[in-house]
Amino acid sequence: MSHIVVHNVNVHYPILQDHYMSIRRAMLRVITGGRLYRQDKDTKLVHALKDVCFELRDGDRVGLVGRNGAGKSTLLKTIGGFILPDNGNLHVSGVVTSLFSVNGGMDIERSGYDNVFLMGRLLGIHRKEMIKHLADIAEFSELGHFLKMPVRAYSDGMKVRLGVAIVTCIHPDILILDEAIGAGDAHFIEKTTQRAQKLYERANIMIMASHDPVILRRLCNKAIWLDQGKVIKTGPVEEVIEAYTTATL
Amino acid sequence: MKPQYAKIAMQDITRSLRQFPLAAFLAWEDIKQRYVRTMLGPLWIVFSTGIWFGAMGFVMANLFHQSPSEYFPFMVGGLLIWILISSSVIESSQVLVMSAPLITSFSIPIFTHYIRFILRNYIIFLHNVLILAIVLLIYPPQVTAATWLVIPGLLLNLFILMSGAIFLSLANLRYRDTHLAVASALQVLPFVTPIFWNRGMLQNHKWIADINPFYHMIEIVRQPILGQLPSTLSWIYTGVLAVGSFVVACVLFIRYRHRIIFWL
Repeated sequence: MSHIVVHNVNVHYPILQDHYMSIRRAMLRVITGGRLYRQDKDTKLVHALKDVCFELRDGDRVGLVGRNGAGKSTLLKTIGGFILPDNGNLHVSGVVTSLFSVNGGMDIERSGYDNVFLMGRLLGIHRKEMIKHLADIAEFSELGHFLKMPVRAYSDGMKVRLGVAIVTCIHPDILILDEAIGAGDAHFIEKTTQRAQKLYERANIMIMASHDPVILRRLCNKAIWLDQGKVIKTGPVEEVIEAYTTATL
Repeated sequence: MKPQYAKIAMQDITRSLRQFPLAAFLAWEDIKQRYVRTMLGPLWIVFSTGIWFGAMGFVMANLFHQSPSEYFPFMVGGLLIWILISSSVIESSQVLVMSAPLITSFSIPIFTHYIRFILRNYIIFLHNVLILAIVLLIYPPQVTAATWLVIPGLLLNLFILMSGAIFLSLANLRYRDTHLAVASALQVLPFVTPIFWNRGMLQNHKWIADINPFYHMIEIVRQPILGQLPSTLSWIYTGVLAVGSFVVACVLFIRYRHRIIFWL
């Protein structure tokens, strides 16, 4: 059972500028009692989510749509627990697994096998369980004897194949993704899509930000349209995407 | 400061302790990563420090007119702890910056990265203990009841280094000058801290050692290794330092835990 309630959530985040990082300015500010370099003047805040409200339950497959900078990633990171809302209520029951990239945590100096356990561990899967997936990962990634070699020796495509093979082993309660998993050559895209789809279906709740209406229509049953940090429309995926594409045309 | 900040920081720490095996795994991976594609592997640390200690010890014992049987355990004990302290302090300002890829993409408690850092440094320290063991075999010290104080000494240092890491790593996120400043400060320290020479040699200027926190952090482990009790001043100094730095670290972690993601 997983459940997400987002109620009037607001998120601001600071834009750090170069001078903000300088110890010299910080010292001047302290010495002069704030007369020079007032901090509040230096910091620019972006109001990234404005009074966002929605509720998600088991079985919800949600697509986030909106233009660049609409707040899609910020919303994902807030649900994932990376960003703390400034006010409003956020209630998440269930373990959230975030897949922002398929190569996250990969160590190129180590072998493919080592990385299976390393990345598995970071995603919360213990060695014993990961061993059960080994044959499957080897078969899916088609890496063969390359698995024994350091990832440094892999082509970009091979890295992606290994990453996809590993991250699709998880059994998430709540899965959040920035863009759908899928890359590689033509032959591999089809395989990846199928395997990723099984992962999405295993999750109780899936939330995916994407710019591709075709993918969202296929994978999601609901959608949320964000614009400048505000929720413009929520509802069945077809309706929301229809409204969004008409508005942006 | 909002009350929920304290709750979030506490949750982060309790989660990281519950997931201790994850931190241990990552620390162990760091150690393995050092030895990828090397032939001697962990023996490298032992060799390089062994050669360094042997040469230094021989020259210094002669310079200071000390008997090798007394000087070697004294210097090697002191240097081992100094290496633990200095490498921890240097790395500590980079803890968050180096973990940025993990912090931004995995739901791992932030405190896990501090546990990983301290474990890694203590594991390397344990490598080096091998050299001390060899030295102590050649020049056996007296084993007394005080020898056991090595353990609380190391734990007290762990506490101080961990708190220091929280302070320095947060400072370094905001002011990237921090790790450069720390590195340059640490260059002077081994010369002004009684590691190779002892406090008694300062004669009328013993205060130079007494005000130096690193001297006391070394003493609370080195004296027990030599079978002696550390001075009361060393206990008080490190005790106060541990409590003080712990309080500062708690306040900073509560205050800034939720901002870290924005500062990376």
